[in-house]
Amino acid sequence: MIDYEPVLIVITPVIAASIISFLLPFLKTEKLQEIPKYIALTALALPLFYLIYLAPQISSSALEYRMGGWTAPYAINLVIDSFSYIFLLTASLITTLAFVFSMRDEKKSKGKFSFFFLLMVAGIYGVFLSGDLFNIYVFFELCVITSYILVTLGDQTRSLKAAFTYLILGSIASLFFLIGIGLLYLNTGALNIAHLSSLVSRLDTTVQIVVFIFLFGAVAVKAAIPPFHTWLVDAHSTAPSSVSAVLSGITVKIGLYIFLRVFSLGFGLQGITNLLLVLGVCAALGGVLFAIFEYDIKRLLAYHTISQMGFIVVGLGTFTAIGVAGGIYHIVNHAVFKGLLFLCAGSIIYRTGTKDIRKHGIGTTMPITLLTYLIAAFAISGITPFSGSVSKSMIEASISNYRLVGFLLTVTCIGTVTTFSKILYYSFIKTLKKDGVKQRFQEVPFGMQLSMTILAFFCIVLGVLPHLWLDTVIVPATSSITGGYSQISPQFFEPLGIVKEWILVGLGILFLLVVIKQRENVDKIRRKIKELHLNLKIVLMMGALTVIFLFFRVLH
Amino acid sequence: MINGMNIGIIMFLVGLFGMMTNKNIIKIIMSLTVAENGVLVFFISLGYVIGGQSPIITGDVTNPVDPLPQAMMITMIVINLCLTALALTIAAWIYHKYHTLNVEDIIDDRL
Repeated sequence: MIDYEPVLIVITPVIAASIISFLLPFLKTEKLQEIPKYIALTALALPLFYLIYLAPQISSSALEYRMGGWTAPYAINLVIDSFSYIFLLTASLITTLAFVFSMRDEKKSKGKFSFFFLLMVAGIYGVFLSGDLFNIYVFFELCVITSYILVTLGDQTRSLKAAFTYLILGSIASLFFLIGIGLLYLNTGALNIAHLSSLVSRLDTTVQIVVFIFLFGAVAVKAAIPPFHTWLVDAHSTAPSSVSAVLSGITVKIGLYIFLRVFSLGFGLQGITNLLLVLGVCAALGGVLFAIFEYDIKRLLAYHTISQMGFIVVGLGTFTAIGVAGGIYHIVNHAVFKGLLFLCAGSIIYRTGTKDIRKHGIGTTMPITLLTYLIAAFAISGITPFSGSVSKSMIEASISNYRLVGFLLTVTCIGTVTTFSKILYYSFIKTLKKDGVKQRFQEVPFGMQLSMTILAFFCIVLGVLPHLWLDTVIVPATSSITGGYSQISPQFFEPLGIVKEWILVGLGILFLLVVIKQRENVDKIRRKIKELHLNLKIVLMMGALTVIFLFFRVLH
Repeated sequence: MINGMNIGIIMFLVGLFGMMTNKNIIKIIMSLTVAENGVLVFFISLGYVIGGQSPIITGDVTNPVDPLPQAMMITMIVINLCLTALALTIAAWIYHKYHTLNVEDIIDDRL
């Protein structure tokens, strides 16, 4: 029987987590305490194999499993279609590699880390698998509650405040999501996504607006779309590096996944595209601007998560075939290269013991880290043979009608180059001298090198062979979201585009020189930004939601 | 109009207002709980039918209430219990590290 494969994917990590929790009291000696991490590794790698095994089936039709043998609209159902398949595959890849990366640190936590990590992964799979809205809420809560705990395992002081903010804002988002679900249930009597999609478009416009506002508020917090993004930077920068890789690579994408699921329900509202373009551009540009002022390597990367999410939101917000395909492709690419960047940051911190890039000065003493970092930096800046360029060019093609948006995104690309050459300059090129001798660092252990190298390999493969991925996975997924799907024919590797990219790199490096000159002023601005506290963050969110509500009220 | 759904939404808004205005972490957690319970009341009254009975145990009920929101709320209560417990744990931990519970005073400017 093949039917219960979807259940296996979500239940494997849960079973492994419970085995670990039962074993923990019996693991007294140092040797025995190694056991949990191998159990966890097996449980994380198995779903990857299930998914590869399922690939031929998914490409022909969606796979559905109804729990408890109930009939269609009543049962809790787990669905794998080509859209969720991409997310599942990316999630299993990133989580497995991130865990391999963290295996060396795992000893300190005595199996706790493995336990919570497995539950978080189960929650992530659950969200991508479930076919009704309430189940998405339940699995999402499983995922975020464990990630709050994993964030506190970070640097143990600042991470507490970050985890608390994350907890409060995340809970508010979940409550908004629940009220949205409740209103949908009140007006349609259904929770199954497939069932809802035929019912939502028949609703009254006012009801649609209210439901949209509640669901959008929830999704925006989870996807960190400004001004709902305020929790992200602290949480992602203080968590352990492997957890940051998963949070930035996958958990933020859950917001976008729910977003696409919910908005393919067929809200017939005008102005959604405009709203998303404005918010996306704000995210892209704002994220980069704040990143330029930072010296903490992980905060820098976290701001870039916001910025890249802006690109994705712009792509998805156009609701054209090429835009959505570009957005989904960028989701995969971003998961890979941001995961890699966080792992690189993790290995730098592992050797130097500080997050401040001004105190790194590694030089070329860590060649694998340097090389993988360079590949990831090229990918995120969108230089041609690497992965980011493909999806960015698709997103740019989708907004050819909106000149201003295109221009602002180009400015964002310059800022991206600036920040990544800033890390390159401070951490790798500049060498610090201690007692007159150049500092030397050892390369990180093999497990860390392995996961970084595999991710770097994917950065290149996703960029060099775009048509392979587009035709097999991305385009089928797009067609299940945009409904009536039209053939897209994106152009890659144009000579003019490559010249443009290198001009942007030049401008970025010029801008970096200005930033380095002005570093005292930059440091002052950095301190100002950090003063925003929890109450103000909530007020900001509610204000933004009210403005969005008024925007729709005026339009209709 | 006074009914369960409106009361639930009002409780949710009260909780939200509490989270916006209170500076004390414990009070913020209490406000969160109020907001959660508001959503709970909202959902429970969503499935309520005037004079309805619960469609369990006997089976032959003529005017049943909708049991689905209640089933969902049991899940939500469990999740909220976890959330509150975790939030209080983090609050206690914060107090040990910073010796304050005021969100404005928890500032750590080290890089």
